[in-house]
Amino acid sequence: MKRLLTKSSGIQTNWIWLFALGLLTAITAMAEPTNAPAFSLEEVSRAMGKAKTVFTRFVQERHLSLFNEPLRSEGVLCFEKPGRVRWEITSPYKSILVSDGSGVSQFEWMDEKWKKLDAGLASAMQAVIAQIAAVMEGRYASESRDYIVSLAANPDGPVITLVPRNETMRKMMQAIEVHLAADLKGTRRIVLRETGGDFTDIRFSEQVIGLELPVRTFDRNAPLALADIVQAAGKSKAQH
Amino acid sequence: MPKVILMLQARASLAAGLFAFAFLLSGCVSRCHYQVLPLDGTLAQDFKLTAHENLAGLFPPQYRSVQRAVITVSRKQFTCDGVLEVSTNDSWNLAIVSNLGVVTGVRVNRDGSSEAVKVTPLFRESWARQFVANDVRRLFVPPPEFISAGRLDDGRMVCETAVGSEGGVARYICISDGQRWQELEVLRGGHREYHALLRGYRTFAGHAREVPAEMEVRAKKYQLHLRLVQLDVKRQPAPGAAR
Repeated sequence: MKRLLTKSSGIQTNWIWLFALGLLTAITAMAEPTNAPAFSLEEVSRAMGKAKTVFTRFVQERHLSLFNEPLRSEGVLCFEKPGRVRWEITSPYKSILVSDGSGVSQFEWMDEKWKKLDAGLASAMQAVIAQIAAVMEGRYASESRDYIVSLAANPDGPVITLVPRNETMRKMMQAIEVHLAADLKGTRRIVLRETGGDFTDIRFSEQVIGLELPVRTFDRNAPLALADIVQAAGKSKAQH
Repeated sequence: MPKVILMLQARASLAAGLFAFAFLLSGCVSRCHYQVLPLDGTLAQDFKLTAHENLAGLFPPQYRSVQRAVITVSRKQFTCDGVLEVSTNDSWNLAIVSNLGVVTGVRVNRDGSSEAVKVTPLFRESWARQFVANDVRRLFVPPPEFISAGRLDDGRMVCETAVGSEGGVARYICISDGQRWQELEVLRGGHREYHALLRGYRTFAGHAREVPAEMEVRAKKYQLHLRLVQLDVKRQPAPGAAR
């Protein structure tokens, strides 16, 4: 199995990158709103660079052709420049993927306590985090070596679509759609469209931008309890 | 003379070391393989039936479950979700899903055969059939008929299947009254090649029986920690119900 995982790690890395890029696009697009009703990718990119922190809840539904009903999970996403990410699943199980900018850790809630995993593909995950910084700096739209990026108008808001340039990648992932709010104040959803009809739909809610995230939010050894982060987000929202 | 004594002492130490090592190994083997005490013929027959009935009815006839899995391979851990759907077509359909999408999908039929129904570049088809299908078969599919039953020296009951198509004998270990399944061993040539511990029994809405919500597997090439986090019972349509 190790051999198999090692062999496929290159592909997995790309998939992780794709997935993360989708998320990151969402994160970074939650930047300061622009007043202009119409905007270009460059303008979106510039707006991205302004968001220093983001807190958002999400509902993720994986629609699989093998089953009638989607696989649903809920959680919280936190981001802080430079390159700090926390992707926490809260239901139907508990799991944390966290990066402090220098490395990635994964935790699973087992036997009524958090257990830190010796995560495989950690270096690949860290490479993903490095991409975050690049996106946050607004280089996303101008340096799209891996994707064909397009922007489309939609009644509910603009949609950025990323199509992999690499043919092998396209065999697995058709496109990533990032649905932004009409006023660019946030990202409504991200859709990861796989080849063959399966897709993952991530819907965001309760987004708080520019909040003061508690110190240990991105701690890779003992990440802060989610309740404390939620409290901080609540306070920030109330103040605004 | 002192040199001879030293040599003898060295040999004695080496022998003692080897003996200790052998003892440890034998200890491990005896710990891994239980001493099964035979049961009286009638008792054995009753127990085989009871255990089989209990295992066959452990999970609902039709359901959809979600599992969270942590797989350890060469000390590295990987997480994924499993979606298992059991329906009237007599098959167990499992999809393994990671953050990256579906990794693989397998179908295990009631006759024990299996097939890969979803193949991706992330996971080899042979690996899906060899390892994933075996996990489904061993942990979720009711066992075939038991051919023998006995009692372990700690009082628990054990039932064995005949040698399966994969060449192994499955040994199901239950608590003394046979009501709760605790362990599964698959033995091949007298050696244990697969061991599952089942614990965390709990009920889920719509299914009165407690099911094992935690499964820990130790196989030759991997370890698997499985948590059953969701179990949705599918109701069978009433006989004669309009379609």
